Amino acid sequence: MPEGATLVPVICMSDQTHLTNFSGDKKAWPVYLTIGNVRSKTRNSPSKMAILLVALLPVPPKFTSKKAKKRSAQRTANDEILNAVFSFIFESLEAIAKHGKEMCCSDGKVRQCFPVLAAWIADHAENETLHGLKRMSCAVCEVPVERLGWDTKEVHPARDYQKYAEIEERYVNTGGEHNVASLLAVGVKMGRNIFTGLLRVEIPLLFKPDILHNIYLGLFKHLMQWIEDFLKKHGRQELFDEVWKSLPPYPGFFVPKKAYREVTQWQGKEMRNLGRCILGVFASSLRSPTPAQQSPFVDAIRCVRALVDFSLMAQYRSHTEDTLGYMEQYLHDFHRYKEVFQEFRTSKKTRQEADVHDEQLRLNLERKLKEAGKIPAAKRRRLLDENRLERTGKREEIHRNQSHFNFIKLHLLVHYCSHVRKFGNIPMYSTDVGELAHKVQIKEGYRHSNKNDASRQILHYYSRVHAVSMRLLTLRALQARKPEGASGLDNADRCFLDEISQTRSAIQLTETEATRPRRLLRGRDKNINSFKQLSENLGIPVEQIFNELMRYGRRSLQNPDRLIANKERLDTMPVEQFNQLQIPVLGFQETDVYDIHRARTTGERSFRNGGSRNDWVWVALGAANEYGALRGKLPGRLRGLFKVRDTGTNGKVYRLAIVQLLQTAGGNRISGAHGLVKVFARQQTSTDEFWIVDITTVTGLAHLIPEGDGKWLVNSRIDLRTFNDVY
Amino acid sequence: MGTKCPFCRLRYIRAGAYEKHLESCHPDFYKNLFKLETDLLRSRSSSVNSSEEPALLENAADHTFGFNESDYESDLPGSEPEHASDGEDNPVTSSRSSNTAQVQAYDNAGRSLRDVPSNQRYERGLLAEPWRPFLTLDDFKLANWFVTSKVPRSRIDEYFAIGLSKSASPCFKSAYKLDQYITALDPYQHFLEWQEGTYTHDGHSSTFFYRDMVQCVEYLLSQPAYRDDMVYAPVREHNETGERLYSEMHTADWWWETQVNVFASSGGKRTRF
Repeated sequence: MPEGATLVPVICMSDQTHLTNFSGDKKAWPVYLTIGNVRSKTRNSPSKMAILLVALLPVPPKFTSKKAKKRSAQRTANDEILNAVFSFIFESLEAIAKHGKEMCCSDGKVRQCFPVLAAWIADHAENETLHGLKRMSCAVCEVPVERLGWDTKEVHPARDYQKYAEIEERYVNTGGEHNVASLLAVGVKMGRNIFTGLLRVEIPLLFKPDILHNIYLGLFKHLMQWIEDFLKKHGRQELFDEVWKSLPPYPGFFVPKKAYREVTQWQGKEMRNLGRCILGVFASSLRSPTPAQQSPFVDAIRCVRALVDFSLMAQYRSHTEDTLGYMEQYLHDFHRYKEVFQEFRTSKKTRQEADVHDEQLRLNLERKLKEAGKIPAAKRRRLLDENRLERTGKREEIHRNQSHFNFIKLHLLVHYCSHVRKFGNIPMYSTDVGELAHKVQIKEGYRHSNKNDASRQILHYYSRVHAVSMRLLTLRALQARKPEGASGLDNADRCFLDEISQTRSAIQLTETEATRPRRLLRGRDKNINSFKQLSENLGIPVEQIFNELMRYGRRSLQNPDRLIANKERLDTMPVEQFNQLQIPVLGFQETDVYDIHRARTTGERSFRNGGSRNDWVWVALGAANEYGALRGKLPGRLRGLFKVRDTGTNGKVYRLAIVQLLQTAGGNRISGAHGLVKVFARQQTSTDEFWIVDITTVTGLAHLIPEGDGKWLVNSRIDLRTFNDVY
Repeated sequence: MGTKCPFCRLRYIRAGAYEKHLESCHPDFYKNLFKLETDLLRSRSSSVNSSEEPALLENAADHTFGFNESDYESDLPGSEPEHASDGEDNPVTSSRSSNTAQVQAYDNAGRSLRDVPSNQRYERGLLAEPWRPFLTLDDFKLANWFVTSKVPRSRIDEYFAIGLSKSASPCFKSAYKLDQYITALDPYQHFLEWQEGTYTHDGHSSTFFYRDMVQCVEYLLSQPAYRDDMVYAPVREHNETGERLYSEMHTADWWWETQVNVFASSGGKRTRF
């Protein structure tokens, strides 16, 4: 690039989509465009309108003919049309690729801009179409089909699209079948790549890893099938479903109401949910194995753990070489232990083949028995046994030899780390951004059209929405940063802007509110005024509460405002009980975005027509080096929230929580193959069953997976923050 | 061809007649238009005279660029306060995330050539008259409600036909006119025009729609709404322990390498079969 030039990375997304759900068979094929100069958070948020629809491609007709020749002719025609359309679309980019173009930027400066196509976000099938590749081939490297499921250590040559173009040209000029053959060998179709010849564009780098399709809808779907078969083989299905249904709530986590097997539709949302709890549930359902089960169980858990950890790590917004190293390690681990699931990778064809062999062996035996005529029963039994052994041996052999992990989605994970080094974090390239855009930009427009020649109406519809929203966004931006010498907006105008923005985005802190939001107690119980009523309501003896309160006072000796209490004084103090604590928890790798955790405790009463709800919370008790992996925090069940005013001294108000703490086991270390911390209930009789703590020490909700007998596993895979904290 | 009135179906070939029509039929719009034109005229004359400040600055910027030495931050002499503040806005110099200790920026990228003279004025004008071309906030509110709640066009017409809007008396009275107003809302609308292409193959013709990609890029670059989130140059970020951080696109290697590369190409001609 010339000196002082400004690079504008053009990010495109394309995805074919259905416009109608049940009837009509209407499809659209939109292409969206956005630029990498806008920060990813703004770029990918739908309300910021930074994703422009740039083309509606012609949807190729369905293959009508059954004849192979006609079909291939149609396929060629489709590809040609696609190629021609894209050369139209890329024309304007190509025209200025060499020397750039002076463009006005929003900060009031003119820059020499070089728009360069940097990313093409699409699902794998679409990528193959656009790159002109055969099925099961990677757009980045020349990996052969039979190596797709192999370990990451093996490096395949990167695709050299320039070389392909040269070979194609040679073929066009001189012919020669060997040219075609050499291309076909690496999975390239002739002249089908729409990106060929674009200046400054490195085609192998256009491919973007796609968490949604590749990990959630791809690998996790496979994984669940293996897990299901695995559980069936070892008779743990009942246990799995039981644990599955008893998961506690967590912000952003949908508590499953049905057993795993009863869910029929697994889509992005459900799969994300599954990724957050599957390791814990799986580990919990494989508890106390028999000696024979020990080894496969450990391997299976390790395998699941590696994949879950990889998927979590891939969602980091900021990587260092260390985290990338972990990611590679997780992937390596997965490959190391995946063998345990290999028997469940059998295809229908393999099973059929095994059945055929089985049948043959059985017939052989029958014939042998018939030929032998009358034989002693003992010998007959021996023959039968031998035959049975032979048959199972044969079946296993076929399964082992023919099942493999060679599918493309497993291979694509190999490119994740190098992609981060080249293009930054992975979530910002996920296809769900494009799918959201579909809904707003295409599908709603289609629904409001009269369905005749809908394309024009779709475009028109969205351009109206776009114009209005863009004006609002512009005004909001200007209002926040007034240009020189301009008077601000009127009061009424400002109110309207605030109103609109509030309805659009739920919790967004402005500059002035950037300080940490505070914990809130919600849901006051009107009937509670004193400790006596509180204790009746909670089902905890007053004596115990008083004792705990005094212990609470003793624990915070250095605090001058501590609660100095004796029973007589406590009896007279006014008390208020609450059922909800809102805890702001800083988002992972964020500095100003808070998630609100709502910890509820309803005591005996039911919550929203369900059972009673007393949430698990984290309580910070010690320094960061205590409690091993938990880093000074212990999980506990929230049993009560109350506020008490010390009328005697200065009217100081204490906001307190009653927590039933758990204790860690096994030296507080991460134990076993699953890498989750085990916690136990304290004994009912012990004096420290209930603790009273200040609500500021309650740091957030905890997610615990029951393991029976008063044991739980701390699910540290529930979100990235916990994943990063507990290890 | 002639000019089409943006508010009704009439076409005018002569400018005088068009102006007259505007003055008589759409007085409010005419006033705005007139003001805009005089503004533009004034700015033009000022740059010719080179007596006023913006023009001076323009020259200064051109001058430094000619030497090709200074980078963006030191590009402009800090005579004007607004440029100083621009330097701060530039995310290259000030890192946002707290965990980055050290940021190494690529100096030779994203340099500005000169100022856009109309930009400041446009922004100021927008703050003064935020709902233009709508006359009042109420008009815009109504239009916004119609658009965001997806009221069908027939219903919009009905709304006016049965006289529901008697109290408000907005500047548009039909769905058709509403469209005209909304089209005029976006000053960068011309970047986003749709083009139609057809491709015929075997007597089977297929239609497709596309926008000019470069103009789309220009549109996104020029939006004041993204101004604070813009990045024009690659950086290398390191944390406290000196480890390289990869987060946003401009912190990773590709941007830097492409910027440094004098001429990179995947080569090969587009072959047609």
